[in-house]
Amino acid sequence: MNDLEVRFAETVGTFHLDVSFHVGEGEVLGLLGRSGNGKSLTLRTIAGIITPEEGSIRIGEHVLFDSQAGVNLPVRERNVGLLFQSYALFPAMTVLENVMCGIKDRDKHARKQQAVDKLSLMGIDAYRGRLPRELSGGQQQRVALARMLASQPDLLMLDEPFSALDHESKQEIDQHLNGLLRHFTGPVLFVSHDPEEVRRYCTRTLSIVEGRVHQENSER
Amino acid sequence: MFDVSPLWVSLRASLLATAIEFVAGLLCAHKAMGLTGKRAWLLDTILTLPMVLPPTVTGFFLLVLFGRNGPIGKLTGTTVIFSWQATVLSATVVAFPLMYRAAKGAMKQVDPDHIWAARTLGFSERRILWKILVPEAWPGIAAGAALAFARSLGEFGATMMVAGNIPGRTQTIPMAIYFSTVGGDMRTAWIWVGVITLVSAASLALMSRLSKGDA
Repeated sequence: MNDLEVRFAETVGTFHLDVSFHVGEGEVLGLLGRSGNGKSLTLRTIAGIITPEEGSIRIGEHVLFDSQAGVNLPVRERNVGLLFQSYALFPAMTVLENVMCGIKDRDKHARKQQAVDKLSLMGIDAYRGRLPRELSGGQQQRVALARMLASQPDLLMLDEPFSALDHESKQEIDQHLNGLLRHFTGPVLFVSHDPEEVRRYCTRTLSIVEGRVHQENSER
Repeated sequence: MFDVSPLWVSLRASLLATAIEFVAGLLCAHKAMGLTGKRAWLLDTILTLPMVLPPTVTGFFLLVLFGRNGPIGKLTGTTVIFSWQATVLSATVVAFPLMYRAAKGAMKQVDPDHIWAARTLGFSERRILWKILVPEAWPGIAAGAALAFARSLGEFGATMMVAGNIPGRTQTIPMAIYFSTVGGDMRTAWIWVGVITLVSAASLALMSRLSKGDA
């Protein structure tokens, strides 16, 4: 089973983060909280960008971090998909190259086919030859989603996926995101400050307040 | 008959030096980005030193290292001192910090999230350098290379120490200018002054054109 088990504590500057939760396979867990409460930090720690002082993080049997066993996998070996708030598309690569670069298949033709499939799924295949700066925010977001999916991660993490979008782009993303979340079989973490968004996309919600996790009574 | 060999000696030395500085500068800048604290400071100091030392001092160190009785001379059983390779060696070492510092400065401007995103996608550090950092920092890197080329072309002090002034072999344009001026041959000096000013100005024009890309 590919579930996600997270339990760690860390101090960044004066901020103390101490979280513990479990996400089942196919479950979409919402992490709700205001900015500065540790939501993004939690995602970055799971991805391996930040190393916690103690705890453990595992996906199924795959241990990403375990302070007692001395395990701390580098980011590139964790196989987790993280959607950055700023999308983090590579500006010097075309849309197609952005999506292709995360696919591990050795055959270039196969890589291209998989990338095109994911771009089509996100309804953005027509822009494959463009550079990221030639796209709107919503379109860039869809490319970032396609790139994340194409790398076939064991876990999806979405960091405020709607925060930088205007109303129109939000609607444009909505249908694609819903489809994506339904198709993805692994665990999903969805971070947001907006209770409405979390209710809409998540099967269960936890709130983060000042670096600590609290249960919400919003099981669906 | 006017001897044009200093032009070819100079171009060979500065083009080869720029190619070496380019690759070594990128690799060292990438390495330096991953270091913190004392080790970062130490590497930065060693790699920048040739920029602030008098070129004759750099040349002196090269003589000691690469001379027949120096550690590298003993190791290889031969010496590059007073050969055309010495013109490449001195030009490379003296101009290297310009390439290294420009590359490091430009690569530090790359959005860290791009680097992290690449890592989550499984990129190795070497692939991040060539596929993310170099393309995104290209204007600064190219400008650094143009500047390093111009500096290599004008290299005099260290070259004098390790390569000497052998016409047709190690006599570069700056060397030709110095010795024709000392020898009273002002016409030859003027010609070479004109040539080197033109080429240097062209490199700087190229540099400012390349740097505009990041505006």
